[in-house]
Amino acid sequence: MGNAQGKYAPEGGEGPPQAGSSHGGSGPTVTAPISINPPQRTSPGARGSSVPGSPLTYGPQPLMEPFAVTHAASRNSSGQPPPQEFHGVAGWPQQGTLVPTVLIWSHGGDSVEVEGSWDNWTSRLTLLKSGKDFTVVKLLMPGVYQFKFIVDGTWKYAPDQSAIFDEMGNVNNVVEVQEYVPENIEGISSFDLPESPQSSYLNDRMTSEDFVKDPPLMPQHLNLTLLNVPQFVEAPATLPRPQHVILNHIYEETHKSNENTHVLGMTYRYKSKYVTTVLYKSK
Amino acid sequence: MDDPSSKDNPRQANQASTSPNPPANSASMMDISAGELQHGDALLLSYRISRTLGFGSFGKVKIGEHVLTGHKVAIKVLNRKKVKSMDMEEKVRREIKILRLFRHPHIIKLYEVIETKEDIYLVMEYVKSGELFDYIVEKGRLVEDEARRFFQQIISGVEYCHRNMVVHRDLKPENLLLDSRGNIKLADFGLSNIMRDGHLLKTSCGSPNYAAPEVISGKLYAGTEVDVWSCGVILYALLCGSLPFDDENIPNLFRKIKNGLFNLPNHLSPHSRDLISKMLIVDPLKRITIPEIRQHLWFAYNLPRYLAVGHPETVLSTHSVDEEVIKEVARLGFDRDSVIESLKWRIPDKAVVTYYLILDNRQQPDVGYMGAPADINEIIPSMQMGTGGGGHWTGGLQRRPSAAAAALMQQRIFAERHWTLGTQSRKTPAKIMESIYSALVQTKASWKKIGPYVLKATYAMGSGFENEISGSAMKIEIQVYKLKEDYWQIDIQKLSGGVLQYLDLCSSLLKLCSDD
Repeated sequence: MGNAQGKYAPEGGEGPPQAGSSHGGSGPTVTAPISINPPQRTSPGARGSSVPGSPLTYGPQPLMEPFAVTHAASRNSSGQPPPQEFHGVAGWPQQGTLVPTVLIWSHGGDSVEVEGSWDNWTSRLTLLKSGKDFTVVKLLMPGVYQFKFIVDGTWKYAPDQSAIFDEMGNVNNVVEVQEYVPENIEGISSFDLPESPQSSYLNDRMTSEDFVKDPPLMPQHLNLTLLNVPQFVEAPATLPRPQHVILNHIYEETHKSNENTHVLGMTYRYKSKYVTTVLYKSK
Repeated sequence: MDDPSSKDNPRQANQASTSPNPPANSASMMDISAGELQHGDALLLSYRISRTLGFGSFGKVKIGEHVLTGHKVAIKVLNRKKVKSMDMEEKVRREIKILRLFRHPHIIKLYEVIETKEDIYLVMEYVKSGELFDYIVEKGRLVEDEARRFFQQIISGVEYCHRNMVVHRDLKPENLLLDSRGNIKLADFGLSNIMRDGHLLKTSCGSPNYAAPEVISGKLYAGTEVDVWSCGVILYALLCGSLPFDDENIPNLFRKIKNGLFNLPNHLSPHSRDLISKMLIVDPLKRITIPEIRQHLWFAYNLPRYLAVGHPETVLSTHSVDEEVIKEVARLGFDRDSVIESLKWRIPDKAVVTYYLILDNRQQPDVGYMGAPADINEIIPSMQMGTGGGGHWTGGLQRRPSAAAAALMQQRIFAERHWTLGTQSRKTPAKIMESIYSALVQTKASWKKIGPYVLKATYAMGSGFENEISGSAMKIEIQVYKLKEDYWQIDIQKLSGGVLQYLDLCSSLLKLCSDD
């Protein structure tokens, strides 16, 4: 089961921001999405189903081709052996962080094991009883994985967790491992104040009292725009996660090299991703 | 407090005995009992109220027993008049909203809110052992393993708040409660605030001893960094039994905090010294962040698995309905399907309250496999153990930072400033404001003053700046900052509207406001 036929097509790392280009990014994971085609589509034209900068973090069908461990190790520039439990996902920058991920079975049984696409279904992990659940913590690279439980010798999927059909029509559970747990901005939406009425926009000007004090000092946080992050040779597409305070602010490129062009950029949130858009406008 | 309305009512109260019958007579809390008698039926039907646990700013905290399940709860009684007279309605409203949203093993739970004409009752998780403050006072400084356990739980709770865009802003041992198993529960979100995209916070609040330098200086801050500072003070207090910054004289205290000078006692281990020093860095941008604390060896050592995984809350089966608990709730007389439905939509009805009371009293995150410490390699995979070190901490104090983290560090220190915020100007602030008004008039905006150097502007639909897809009008905020002496910065941020329209608009506005 779960025999991965998918092709992988690592998207090239994006260079410096271009007009209209967008950097994804709940962390570096998005800027170089590994896109996996659904197995049934094997024509070359179908490659790269996920467009750079598309809001999808990962291709929807994440089964991995079997990779030899040596393949992964050869990409390991620092010469360190790859961590023990890590068996693949080539094309991923080496510095990607393994994320401790918990796998839970809470539907009874005496012995529970799990297999998954993280190592192309080649090894079984035993879950341990923790309270009334069976759990195991596994280190995974960010990505989407399918997995299935073996409960007292029988393959089972957990009906209370995300699940998808594989190409054979089997139901597998599926987990998306993200390098960062995304911020949840839904919850605080109820704190939004009602919009002030249009009639309150009176075009009122500051008075002399307003100018008694100097404006506040510019908070240094606002200098931390992603646009200033230097590129890394090792991982050209890697960006740190921006602080929420820089989002939606306008930044201007101050290079005098393009005197005839006004270059503006901003980073904003799109669901759990961050998108940076740059506008080049002739003066 | 004189409460005229209570005079019309017989003085009867909720001070209960151990008898299973609803409130016996007692006359200790006039104003509150009066309200209960009239309107508090819902409360009295569901809970048996007994002794007073403590006193908050607006009323008592009482112990209650959930009649159906027999589980104990803490009932915070807020007198509406007191709340109003102290101008704290907003504070109370905020705390209720936030706690209703949260579910985390180390954050105090709010089960339900019962409102009467006079009072608001917050039915909360009962924690037996009181404040961490009293624990430290009683025990003095803690051994590192015990302090670490508390600290890991605190950081996990704070991280959860931040992930939900809430900054606590009043973290101190008085607001950290201990349950009967000695587990931390973050409490008192009255001074917390929401972190909104693009927005900084300013209000200074909280206890001075735990407040970050930028907070007491009245500077703008992002949010998370001020909680990190307070956690640093707490960690110091746990390990040293005293405060890093203390002075009876407030100006002296503030000077100490702003200078960031404190003594690290000799008994501290090198790793704990390192962590404290990194959390108490005066420059908020150089201060260690929560993700970095997670990678710090002092923190990562003996970290229980349920705290090592990204979502400790999901470990506690909140992703699914607990079948056994549902059965129990159904046995108590609730309709099974409607319980599941209410849970799904997070409707805090009686059945849901019952469900969570049973669930929370069953689940103990700190036991079994998930409660056991994770192997260090499970948490910090890139940690290189020294060869033959036999598991000793021979690596650096922090793991080799990933390229992304390194980029961030580098950016903090030597940002290449090809890109600058908004535009800069050497005109006087008054002249800058004039140029902004003129730019707004030319682009046909309407605006209003928000503060001395802040205004909000909108563009009517049809102005060409609205987002055709979402139909939202363009709305921006413009703020003037001081960069250095006689040098100012005009900052624009988008509140709503389309991205490209915004970039286009900013291009016009910045050109119109520029000095040349």
